[in-house]
Amino acid sequence: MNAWRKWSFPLSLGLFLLILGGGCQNPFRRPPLVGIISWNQELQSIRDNCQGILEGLREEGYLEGINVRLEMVNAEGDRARAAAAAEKFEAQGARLLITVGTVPTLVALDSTQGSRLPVVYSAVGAPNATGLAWEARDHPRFTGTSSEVPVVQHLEMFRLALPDMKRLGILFCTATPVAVATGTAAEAAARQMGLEVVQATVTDERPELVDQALAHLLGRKAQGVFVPDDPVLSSPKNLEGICKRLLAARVPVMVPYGSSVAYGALLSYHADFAEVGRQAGRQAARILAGTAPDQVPPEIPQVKRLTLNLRVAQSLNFSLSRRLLSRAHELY
Amino acid sequence: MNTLTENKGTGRVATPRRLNYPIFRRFSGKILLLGLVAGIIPLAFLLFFGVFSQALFRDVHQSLSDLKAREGQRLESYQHKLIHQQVRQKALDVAQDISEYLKSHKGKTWEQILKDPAFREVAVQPVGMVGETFLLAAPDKKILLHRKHTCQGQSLEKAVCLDEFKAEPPNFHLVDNFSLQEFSLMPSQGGDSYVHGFLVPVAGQPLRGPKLMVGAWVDRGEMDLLLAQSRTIFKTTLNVSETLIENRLVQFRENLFYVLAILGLAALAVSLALARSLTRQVNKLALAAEAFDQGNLGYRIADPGRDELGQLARTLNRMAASLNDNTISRMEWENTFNALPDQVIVVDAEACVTRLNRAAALYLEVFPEEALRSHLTELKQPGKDWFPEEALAQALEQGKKTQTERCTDDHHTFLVTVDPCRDLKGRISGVVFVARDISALKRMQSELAKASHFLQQIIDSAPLGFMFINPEGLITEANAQVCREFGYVPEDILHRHYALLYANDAEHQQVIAELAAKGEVLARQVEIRGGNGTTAPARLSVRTLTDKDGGVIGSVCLMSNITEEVSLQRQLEQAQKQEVIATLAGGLAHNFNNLLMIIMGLTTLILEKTPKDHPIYEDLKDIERQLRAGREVTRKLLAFRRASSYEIQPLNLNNLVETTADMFGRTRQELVIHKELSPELPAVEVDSSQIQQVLINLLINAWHAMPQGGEILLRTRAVHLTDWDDPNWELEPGPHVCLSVTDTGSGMDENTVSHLFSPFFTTKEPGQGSGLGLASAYRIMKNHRGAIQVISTPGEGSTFTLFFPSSTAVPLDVAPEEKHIVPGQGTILVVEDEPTLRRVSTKLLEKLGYQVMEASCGERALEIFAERNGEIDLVLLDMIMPGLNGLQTLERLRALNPRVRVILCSGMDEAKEENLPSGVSFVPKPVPLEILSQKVAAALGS
Repeated sequence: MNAWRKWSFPLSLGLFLLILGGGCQNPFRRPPLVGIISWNQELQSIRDNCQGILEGLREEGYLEGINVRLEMVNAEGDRARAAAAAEKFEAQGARLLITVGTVPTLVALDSTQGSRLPVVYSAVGAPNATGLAWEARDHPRFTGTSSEVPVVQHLEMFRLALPDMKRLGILFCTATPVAVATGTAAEAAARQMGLEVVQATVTDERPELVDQALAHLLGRKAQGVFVPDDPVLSSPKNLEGICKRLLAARVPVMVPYGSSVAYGALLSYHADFAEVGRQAGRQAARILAGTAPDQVPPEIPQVKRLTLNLRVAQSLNFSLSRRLLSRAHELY
Repeated sequence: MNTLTENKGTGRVATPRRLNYPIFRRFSGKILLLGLVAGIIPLAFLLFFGVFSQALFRDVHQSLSDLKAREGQRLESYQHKLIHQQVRQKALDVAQDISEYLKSHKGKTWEQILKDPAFREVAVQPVGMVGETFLLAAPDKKILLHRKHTCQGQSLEKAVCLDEFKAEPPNFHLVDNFSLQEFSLMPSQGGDSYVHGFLVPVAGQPLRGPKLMVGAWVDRGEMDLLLAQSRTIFKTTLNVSETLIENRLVQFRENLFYVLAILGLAALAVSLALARSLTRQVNKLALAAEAFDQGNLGYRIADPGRDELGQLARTLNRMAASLNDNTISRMEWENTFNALPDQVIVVDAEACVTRLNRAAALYLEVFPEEALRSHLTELKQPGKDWFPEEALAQALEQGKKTQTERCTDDHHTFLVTVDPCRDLKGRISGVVFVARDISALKRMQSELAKASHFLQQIIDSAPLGFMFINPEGLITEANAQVCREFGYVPEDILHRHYALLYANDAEHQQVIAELAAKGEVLARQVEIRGGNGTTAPARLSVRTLTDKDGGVIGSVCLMSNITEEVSLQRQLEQAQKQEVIATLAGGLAHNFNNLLMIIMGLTTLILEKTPKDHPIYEDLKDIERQLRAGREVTRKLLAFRRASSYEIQPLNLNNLVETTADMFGRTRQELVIHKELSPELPAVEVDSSQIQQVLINLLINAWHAMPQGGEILLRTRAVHLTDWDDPNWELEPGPHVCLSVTDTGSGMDENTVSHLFSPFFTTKEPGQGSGLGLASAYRIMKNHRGAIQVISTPGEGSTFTLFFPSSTAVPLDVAPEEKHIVPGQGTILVVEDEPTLRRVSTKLLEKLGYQVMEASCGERALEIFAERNGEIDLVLLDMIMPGLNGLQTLERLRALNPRVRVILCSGMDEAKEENLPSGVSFVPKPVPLEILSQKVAAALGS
C-alpha cells in the first residue's frame, strides 16, 4: 500500500507527460509577437513598404494570426509615440521589431538600448549617412533593408529626362539627417556629373521658409529641382505646394518616392518600397526562424523603379524619350 | 497462475515463477500496472497520431521544399525560355528591321547610316525590361552600336565582361546556325545560364560597311528581378501552403493535446479510482483478515460493494458474524455456565467429570481444571455429599431423568436434577448434575407457610366477613365469619358468583356503580341473602385490588351482619320516641301535680274548716283520697319518665312489676293480670327502664298471643341456680331473681321458639310487629348477665322467665312512710310562679303557723330576700319557673346568704335528694300537708 501511494502518482504523471510530449503541441504556446512601427501612413510608399513587409513574411511562411502576431503602430510623425511603441513591444516580449523609416528606426534603437530585441529596419533612406549602417555593424541585433537608391542613379535618370539640364536645384529640410545626407550626396554627385548645383534648405516645414527656398531656387534659374530623401518635405502637403510653385515656373521636380509623383513631380527614381518591405520581411522571417540577426546582413533595394508623370511632362511640353518611357514602371 | 507443481521424485512443491519486484508483490501494484496498461493502449494510439502528425508535417515540409526547389527551377527554366524566345524574337525582328532599313536606304553609306538616329533607334532597342539589342560586325563580332558607349568597339566577350562587371572575359558556348547563333557562358565559368544571348545575321550589307549582325542579350539584373517576382510568388504560395498545413497540423496537435490531456487525465483518474477502489476493497479484506486473525471478530468490512470482492467481503462479514456469534455464544455460555448459582457437573459415561462450573468448584473446594477427568466419587467432600449415585446409575443405564432433594450434613438442601446426555446417535454419553441449593427456598417456604397460615388465621378469625372476588366475579376466598354470620357453608359460596349474596338487585347495582366510580365501597348497608334463605342487613366494604401494573386482580370484600345494630338502632329510635312520650308525660305530670297541689291544698283547708259530721266532710275526704290516688298516678307517670335514664341501680323487682303491670293493665282491659310477687324478693341491679321495656315487650307478646283476651300471670321469686344447660345464655350458679310472664295464649312450636330471639323474626302479621321486641329483650338480658327461658306449648300458652343475678344492695325505690302534721313558727318565703298554687301554699303554711311572704319569680324572690334578709327563715322555692329557675335562684340566694335554708319543690319529680345541692330539701308536688309540715319542720330544725 505504501508503495502504491509512493509511486502511483509519479508513475502516472510521468507516463502522461511522456505521452503528451511525444505527439502533442503545446496549446499554450502563442505565436511570436512582431511589432511594426511606421513613421506615418500618409505616404503610399510607406504603406507599400508595410504591405511589402507582410508579403515578405508571408513569402517565408509567416501568416498573421497563425504563426506570427503582427502589431503595427503608426507613429504619425511623433517620436514619442514611436518610442512608446518600441518600449511597449519590448515590454510585451516581442520577438522582433520592424521599423519603417529612418526616424522610427533611430527611435527604436534608442528606446531599446541595452535590450537584445532584434530590430529590422525598412525604408531607411540613407543608412550610411544616418549612421544606421554603423549601428548594424556594431549591434548584432540590428539589420534591415534600406530604401536608398544611389543619388547618382537619381540624377542620371533626371538627366535622361532633361538632357539639356545644366543647372540643378536641390531642396531639402535639414531637420532630418537623411535629408541632409541625401541632399549633400546629391550635390556632390551633381557636381561630378558636371551640373551646376543650386541648393536651398529649410529648417522646418513652415511655408514661408519653403517659399523662401523656392524663390531662391527660381532666382538662381534652376532648370530642375531634386528633392532628396526628405521625410519632411516629402509629405504630401509640402510636396504638393513645392511642385505647384515650381511647375508654375516651368521647373520640373524630381522626388525620392514614386508615390510623390502624383503630387506634381515629373519623375522619381526610387526603390520599390513594396519590394524593400518584402526584403525586410524576409529578413525578419529569417530571424523569426531562428537565424541570429548578425547572420542576416543588411540589404539594399533590389528593385528600383522609374515613375513618370506624363501629365506634368505634357504641361511642360517635354518629349520623353522612348528609352525613358520603356523603363518607366508606373505612369501618371 | 498460482497452481503448485510437485517435482516428481523429490516431492518438493515448487512455486511458479513470479515477478519478484516489490511493487508487484502487492495487489495495488498489480492493479496500478493493469490500469496503466489499460490507459497506455488508447494513449499509444493517440501518441501514434501525434507522431504521425509530426511525421506528416515533416513530409509535407520536405515535399514542399522539394517542390519549391524542383518546380521553382522548372519555372525559372521555363521563364528563361520565354525570355530567351522574346529576346531571340527581338533579335530576329531587329535584324529584319535593319535589313528593311538597308533595303530602303541603299544609297547611304555605313558612316551615314551610323549617324542616322533612326537607324540607331532601330538597331539598339530594349527588349522589354529584360534585355536589349545591339549591332555588331559579323566577322569579328565587334560591337558597332550599343546602349552603352563604352561597349562600342569592344568584342562581344569584352562587352559582356563590361556589362557583368567581370574582370576576365568569359568564354562563350556558341551554338551556330545559319540564320541564328546562340551564346552563353561556359559551364566551367559558373554555369550561369542567365547570361544568354542571340546573334542574328542581317540580310543585306550597308554600303562600305561590314556584314552586320544583330545581337541581343538578356539583362541579368532585370531578368533576375523578373524571375524574382515569380519566384517570390511561387515561394509565397508554397510557404503559405506549408504554413497553413503546419498550422492545421499544429491545431490538430493542439486538439490532440486537449484530447490527450482529457483522456490522459480521465485515464489517470479512472486508473487511480479503479486502483484505489480495488485496492481499498482488497485492503479492507486484508485489514479484516488481520483483525480476524487477531481475534477481533467484531470487525466488519464497511461498504462491501457489489462486485466479487464485495461478495467476498460480505461472505467474510457473515463468517465473522457467525464465528463471533458462536464465540460470543460460547463465551456467554461459559460465563453463564460459571455464573449459574446452581452447581452443574457434567460427567461422561464413566462418571468422570468433563465439566463443572464455578459454583460446583467452589462448593466442592476444587479447581475446575483439576477436577476435570476426575471420577465423580473423588469429588466427594465430607458433609457435602449431595451426589445421588442411584440416580446416576439410572441415568447412565436407563436414561432416566430424576430430580431429588438431598440434605447434606452442613444443613443444606439441594434439589438435584440428574439428566442423561445423549450424543448425535442418541446414545447416552454422560450425565448432567444440576444441584440447586434450595435451603433458603425451604426456609422461605416454611416462613411463607407460617405467614400464610397466620394470614389465613387472621382472615378466618377476623370478626368481619372476608371474601376475595376474582375479576370474573367468582368468590375465591371466604372466611368462616361469612359463613357464620350469614348461615352459609363454604361450598355454597366458593367459586360462585358474588351476585348471589345480594337480596336486593337495586342495591347490587348501586354497589357496582359506586365501586366503578370510586374504586371502593365503604360501610355500605345492604341486604344479604343468607344461607337459610333469610335476609339480613349487612355493612359491606369492597375495595378493588390491583397488581403492580394497575391491572385489576379482583376485589376484597368485608361485610358484617349488622342485624343487632339495626335492631339497636330501631330500639334507639323507639327509645327516643319513648323519651318524647316521657317528656310529655313529665310535663303533664308537672301541670297535673300543680292542679292536684291546689286542689289538695284547698281540700285540706276546707276539711280543716269543716266539722267531721258535716254532710260534705266525707265527700271532702273522698276528694282527698282521690287526690292521693291522682298523686300516685302522676308519680307512676314520672317513674315511667325516669325509666329512660339508663342507669343500673338496685331495685325491688316487685315495684317495677307492679308499676308496669298497673300501667299496662289500664290500657288492656281485656286482659286479666295476676301477680304473684314474692315479698322477700332480693334486690336486683338493673336498669329499670330497660327491664321495664323487656317486661312490656313480654306483656305485649302475651297480649298478641291472646287477641281475644286472657290471663297473664306475673310471678317473682328468688331462686338459687346450681346448674344451667342452655348454651345461649351464660348464667353463673348462684342466687337469682326470677320474673316469669305466663299467658294462656296460642303457644309456640319448637322451631318458632328456636328463632324467637332472631332479629326481625316475627309470627305476627305484617305491620303488627317489627320482629325486634324479643331480639332487644335478648340483648338487654345479655347485658344484665341474665337469661330468658321460654317454655311454650302450642295451644296452651307460653311462659317467659327472666333470670337476674340477685344483689345484696338495698333497693332505692322503697316508699317513705307517711307521718302526722308538724306545726311550726318562722318566716317562709314562698317562690312560685303559679299564683293559685302560691296562694294555696301560703295558706297551708300559714295554717301550720308560719309567716309567709310570696314571690312570683326568682328575681322577685331575690329582691325580697335582699330586703328582708334577716327575717326569712326558709325559702320554699319552685324549681320550674320562667326567668330564673329554682336552682339558679338558689345559687343567687346563697350568694346573698350562704346559710339560707331552702326547700325545693317540683311537680316533675326529677330532683332526687342525692342530686340536689347540699343543705337543700325537696318536696314533690302535690304534697300532702303532713309531708309539707314534716319537710318544713325538718328544714327549720324544729
